[in-house]
Amino acid sequence: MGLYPRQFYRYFLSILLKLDRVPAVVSSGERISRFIFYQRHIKGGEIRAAAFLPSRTSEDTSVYRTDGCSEKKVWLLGNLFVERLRRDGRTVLARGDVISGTVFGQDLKIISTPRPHPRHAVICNWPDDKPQQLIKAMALALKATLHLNQ
Amino acid sequence: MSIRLAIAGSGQTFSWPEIGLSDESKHIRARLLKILAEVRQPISFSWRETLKDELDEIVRECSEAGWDGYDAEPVSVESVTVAQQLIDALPEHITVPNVVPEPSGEVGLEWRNGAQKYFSLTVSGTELVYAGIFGGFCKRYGEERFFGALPTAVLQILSQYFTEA
Repeated sequence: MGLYPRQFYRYFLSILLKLDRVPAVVSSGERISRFIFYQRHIKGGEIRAAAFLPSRTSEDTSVYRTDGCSEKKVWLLGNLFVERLRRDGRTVLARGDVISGTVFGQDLKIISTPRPHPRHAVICNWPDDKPQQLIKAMALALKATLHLNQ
Repeated sequence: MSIRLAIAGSGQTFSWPEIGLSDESKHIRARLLKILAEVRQPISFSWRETLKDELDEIVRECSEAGWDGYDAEPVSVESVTVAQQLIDALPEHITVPNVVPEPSGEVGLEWRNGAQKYFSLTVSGTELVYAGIFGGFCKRYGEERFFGALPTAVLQILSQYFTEA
């Protein structure tokens, strides 16, 4: 496929994927996926807590609500709505899947933020205290399942 | 004439000309001496050096904002310096930790023992931040001033859960 047909195909796919609709409120049994770009965060086949720690600027953790999505669709979300929005060419190496109930169990919230995609959400309500943040991120990392982007 | 040199305990011997004047000979001699020095290092010293080499790699990998694919802050030289102090402060008998950069730009040391035991140490400014999950509902976390030595609470956790067999 040439350059323009490929770009058009991706554009068409992203439009198609944006037609996706999910409930505004995240329920407790939903699968939540965190896309991982940095290899040391999945070293030894284990997801590190750092992969779930919130950003200092936004104070939340960007995730996708991937319940009911096929594997292909999940990676497409990562590719088109996470990876492609970056300008540094970094690629999604893996993702960590966790059930929303596990997140709620840590007194964290998952808020739907449907940009850039209706399935986008953020894990928020992180404590300001660094040790408590770490404990919660560790609990998520221990419960998360690692999926490599092959 | 040549010198034969046996490395203690390894069963290996090295030999090189006693008087080598060529550049190649000097180069080989220097390389052999370096190898000997490395082989003679205690094992504990080696893992500390390996971790410090990893820190150097992390500085290269995480020198720009967004290194984690999101908006992580760059790992600073100060963070690496305190992480090196932390490595130096670790006791001898523990399992070797993983070095993990965090989105805050700080560098943590982590120990993981299966799906139940997980412990992390990070120096944040002048504070030593520690957090651990040890199976079930057993969690321990806190913050203490870091002056180059590990507090008793941290030493107890490492000795209890992450001791080299």
